[in-house]
Amino acid sequence: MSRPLPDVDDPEFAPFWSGTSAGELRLVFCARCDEVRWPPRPVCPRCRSFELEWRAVDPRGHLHTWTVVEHQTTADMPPPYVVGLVQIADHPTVRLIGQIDAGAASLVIDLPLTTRFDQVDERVTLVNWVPSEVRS
Amino acid sequence: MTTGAVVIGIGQTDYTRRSGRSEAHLAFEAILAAARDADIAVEDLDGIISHPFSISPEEIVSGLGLPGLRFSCTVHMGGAGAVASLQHAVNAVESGVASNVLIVRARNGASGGRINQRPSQQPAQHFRDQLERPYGWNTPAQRYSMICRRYQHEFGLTREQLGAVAVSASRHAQLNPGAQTYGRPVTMETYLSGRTIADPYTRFDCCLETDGACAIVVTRDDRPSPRRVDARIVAVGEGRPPSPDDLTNRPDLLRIGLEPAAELAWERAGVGPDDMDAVMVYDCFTFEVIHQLEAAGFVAPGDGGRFCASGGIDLGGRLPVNTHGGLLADGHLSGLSHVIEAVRQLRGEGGARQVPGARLVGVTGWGDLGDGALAVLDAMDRVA
Repeated sequence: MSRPLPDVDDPEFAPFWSGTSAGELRLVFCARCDEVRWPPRPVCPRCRSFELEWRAVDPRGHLHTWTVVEHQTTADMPPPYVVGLVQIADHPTVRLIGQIDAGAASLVIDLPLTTRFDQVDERVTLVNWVPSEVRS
Repeated sequence: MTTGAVVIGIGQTDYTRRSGRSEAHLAFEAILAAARDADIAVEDLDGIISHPFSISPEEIVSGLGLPGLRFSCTVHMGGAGAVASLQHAVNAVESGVASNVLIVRARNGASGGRINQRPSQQPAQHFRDQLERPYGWNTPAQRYSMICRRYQHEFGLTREQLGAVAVSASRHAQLNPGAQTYGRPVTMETYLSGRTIADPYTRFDCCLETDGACAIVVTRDDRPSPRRVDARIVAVGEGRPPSPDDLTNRPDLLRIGLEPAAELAWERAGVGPDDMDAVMVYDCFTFEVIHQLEAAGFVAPGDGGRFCASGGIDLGGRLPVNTHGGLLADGHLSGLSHVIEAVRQLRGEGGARQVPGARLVGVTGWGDLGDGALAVLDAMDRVA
């Protein structure tokens, strides 16, 4: 049994995954009222328009919270590893789950993070995070 | 203000890690026990509220030979469903649609495969598949530990405060011969030595996985009863947090459905948290007792940890919590066992763990990504 991968052909998510394959973090915006929404949903919760567009955003965020997984529950993913909930810097109502490549002892709430696009295979590139200090 | 419905019967199996029986077998044992306790014929069960992904009304009708099922429904709120189901049972019996409504929980939760192997019951599975599972985030311990850390950040929380919840539950379970951990107490030392599951959650922060079943029967309060005091359903409330299908994008991770649920229940009941003699809290994790005591208004925000560590939740304390041991120490029956314990306390059947003079008991439910429910039950004296 191997690790679970997203279905990149799911129409509601396909633009996200073609974005990550191109090294871009894309989110859904309402084409009528400009409100960002995440995860992708068919209708804008604010103005209820069905018109949406995908836009690339600055791939940086802050660590909102995290857990250190020490008991294995996913095939092909031996612990320990850190799963973080990252708040997107330019769009703070949006948060993404991803693995954080940092020692558990170095983690603090609001730690600045930068996206690292990790290609798994020719179709799937996942969005993980590293401390921004490391990147600069 | 109260409803006109009582919990007329309760039943349960033993709670173990290996039942050696099927879920249907367990369910039928509990259902027959509840009918006996209610002093009704099994054939008179005419309403069933089932749990999604568990034994269906159809299987119960076939398996027990029920001739007259007239009402059924399912509540899809995870562990909050048992408490939320009480409202549906009340509606059915008060309207006359059914006379004897059964609520049942049955699962081989320990021997039937661990939590990460079971199909997930949470809403919006596509979000989980697309955005969460690929990163190795797929169990309640991993999800909810993140909420605990936010609380820790905002209010402060110590290991000993979390441990106090585990130790209190264990202490109560030692007074409950039916508890899965009866005879195996967890001390603070044990708690602190537990291995990490998903930090900050360690082994003894996490609830049990249990093979077992329990069941209750609800009927109108003007039907015959075999006893002098029955547990009456005073009021029920259900609620959801903001962004109920997605924890990750909830503006405030500490908001839970129990808040609006409790507001509704207190308003309908005409009593408040300070009037409760005990409360059964859906203790999927130690922190969730602290969290829910605050969310339902039993303690002020930020005070939950201190309250638990001070002995407030112990038998003999200001507000005994989970006198049976809860999900942490009695067994994981998805919250229905908490309703049963409330009923026992109100009937005066608590034995060594009886809360003296218990007349009002609350029961919370927590499910999925933070759905919530609260029920208020009271002791109804039967006129001879």
